[in-house]
Amino acid sequence: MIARAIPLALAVLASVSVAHAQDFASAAPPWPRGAAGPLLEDGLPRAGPLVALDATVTRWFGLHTLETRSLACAARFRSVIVAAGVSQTGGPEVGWTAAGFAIGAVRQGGGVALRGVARRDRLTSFAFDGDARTAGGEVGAGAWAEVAGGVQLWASAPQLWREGAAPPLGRALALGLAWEGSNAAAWLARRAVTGVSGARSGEHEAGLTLGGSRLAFWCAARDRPLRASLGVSAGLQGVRSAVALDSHPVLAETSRLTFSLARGGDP
Amino acid sequence: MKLRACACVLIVACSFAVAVHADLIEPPADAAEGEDFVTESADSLADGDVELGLAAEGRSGGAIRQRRRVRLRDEDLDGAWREGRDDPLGGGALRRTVAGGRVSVGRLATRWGRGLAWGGARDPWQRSHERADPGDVRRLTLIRPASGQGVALERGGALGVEALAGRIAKREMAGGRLRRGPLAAGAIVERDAGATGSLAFVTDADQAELAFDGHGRWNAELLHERAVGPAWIGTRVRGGSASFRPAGGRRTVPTRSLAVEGDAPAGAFGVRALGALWRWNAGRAGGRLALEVNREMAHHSALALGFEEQHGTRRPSGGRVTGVRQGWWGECRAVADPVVLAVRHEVFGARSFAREAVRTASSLQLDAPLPAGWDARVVHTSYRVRRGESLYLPEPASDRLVLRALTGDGERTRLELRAPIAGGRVSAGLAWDDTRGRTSQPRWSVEWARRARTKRGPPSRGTEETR
Repeated sequence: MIARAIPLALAVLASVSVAHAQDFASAAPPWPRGAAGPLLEDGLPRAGPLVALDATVTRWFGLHTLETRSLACAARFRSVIVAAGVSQTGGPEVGWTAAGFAIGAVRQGGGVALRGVARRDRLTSFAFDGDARTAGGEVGAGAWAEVAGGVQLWASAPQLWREGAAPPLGRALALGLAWEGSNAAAWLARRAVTGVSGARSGEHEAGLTLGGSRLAFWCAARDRPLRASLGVSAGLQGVRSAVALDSHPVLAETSRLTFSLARGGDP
Repeated sequence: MKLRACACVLIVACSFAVAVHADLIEPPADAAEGEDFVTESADSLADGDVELGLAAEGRSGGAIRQRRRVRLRDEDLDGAWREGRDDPLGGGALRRTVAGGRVSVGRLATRWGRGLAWGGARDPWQRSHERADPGDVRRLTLIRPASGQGVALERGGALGVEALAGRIAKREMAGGRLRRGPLAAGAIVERDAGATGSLAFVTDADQAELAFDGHGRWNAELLHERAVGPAWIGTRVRGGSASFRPAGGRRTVPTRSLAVEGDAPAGAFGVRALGALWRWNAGRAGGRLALEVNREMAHHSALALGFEEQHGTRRPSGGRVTGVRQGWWGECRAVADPVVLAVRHEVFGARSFAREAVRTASSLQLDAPLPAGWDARVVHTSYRVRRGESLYLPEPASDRLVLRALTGDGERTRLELRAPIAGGRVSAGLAWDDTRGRTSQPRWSVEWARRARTKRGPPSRGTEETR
């Protein structure tokens, strides 16, 4: 049952809508960004905490047998930031394990990072010893820079280079603009779509975050087909939790729960 | 240290000026459909400069192509020479002052008047950039130099004299021209092809040329430029016989065309526009409307948005005559010291407002200085181009601009590293394509170039890095 569910879900996902994130997706709002998981996911570093830890559980399309559990940590020393993480998706024998690493530089006016993920099928719950032919990896980069007045230009190409077994989902170039105010943020994004038949060549996203570091609500809408995401996050003194829901035109919602710790700098 | 960092940012930002203020780069009419196109980069040497360059490129597991070049410029002597297997820019010329005139031996690359009779006329669908400074990358005309060889003489004074003789397109030819004030008259005789005459009138604001041959075929072009307050308007009108061909079998352009272009400041923005109509012969015509709004922002950031409508064909024969294409493009550059990020997106559709997309491309360009004078650049493009259409991606090198032709659905990534080595700069590039259903080997290139001064003199344009 599980063996059928995972390929089916991924096939539907790939053919109907594009997943923006995979192994280290976080429930934090897309903007302002989370610290550790989003850096591993998109290569977009945040000039925030000196040390951060993200633990996320993602249940894809309401399937309790298709879950991603990830743990990511990041540390920043002056302008150099590094992150590492591990993630598991699916149950034993049919799932995979992923290890991610990112390194970059970030300041108040912008940042750039290189990120990479290696994946391999697994046979038991915590093993990293599946068939070697199922191993694969990807390397990408992301960058953002402030244009003017709190408006930031960002771009992420998470799979510039791929080797070995193809990743579960292809992720092409994403470009966007984001605006950050004191208690609000908004963003526009366009994600290219390649390798999908038909006239669809990209999808667009618009989103809004209201609130601050203690309590924030965010929502986003994507086209082709029209979908929505909602999220809420709450935090106190460096401890933060967030929940997010992504709708899907065919399957049930994807839900994410993230628990974060941050220390030093701006949480 | 801070000054050095600022200089690095400025240099990198200047290099992005090409990207953010670029018009849509499309190859000229004589470029083969769907094939890469190579043209000379707009660069010039100052007096006393000597430039050497070595380059090699190839694909993984494929043959290696080597290129060598040398350029020099002095008061009395200047020249350039390129050589390499299958190099479309191969060859060169040497010029020397002799008895008050300039004698050139090698490639015949002169241009008379508007280039109708000799030298190559401009495509009406491309901006003329007549006002751009010499060396400005916007002056790039995407016209390859002639492949012929010969001797040319140019002498100034109250009565200017130009003469040339050589072999071009497998035909011997010779010609001469006299210039007095704004007027010029000349003729070129080709073996087995007859004579081509040229009458030209050139001033700062107006340029006109009438070209004709012995069979009564003719072509004429008028360029009028006018400043209206802070704005500038240029008008190009061309008319003549559809069967007229310039001397030397050089590139053909539409013999009938009208192009109006201009730029003007509008508050904090700059506005540029181009409208062009052309006609090759019955049933083969085309048009282009291009609008662009750009804004320079603080810290070398910039934004540009453009709208395009195109239809028809840019070739005298062959290829497809397309219906109306509407599209828009946007570019944005942001500088986060010391990193420069530029993104671009363009979409062209077969229906109004770019619907029913036939060409979509998103690009990311990231420049970052590294320690010890190194710097890195990553360019990534994700594209989807319908069959029969082509997307051209510019890949600049120190002496040339390569337009890579892409079609289908895929992604292209190019990684460049530049470093100061052996008194010059080494540039190493690696590019790979991820095209669905096709496998292609990564393409690599290594280039070393050094520019040196042989005597005291005014500094050459720009820095070595910007060149």
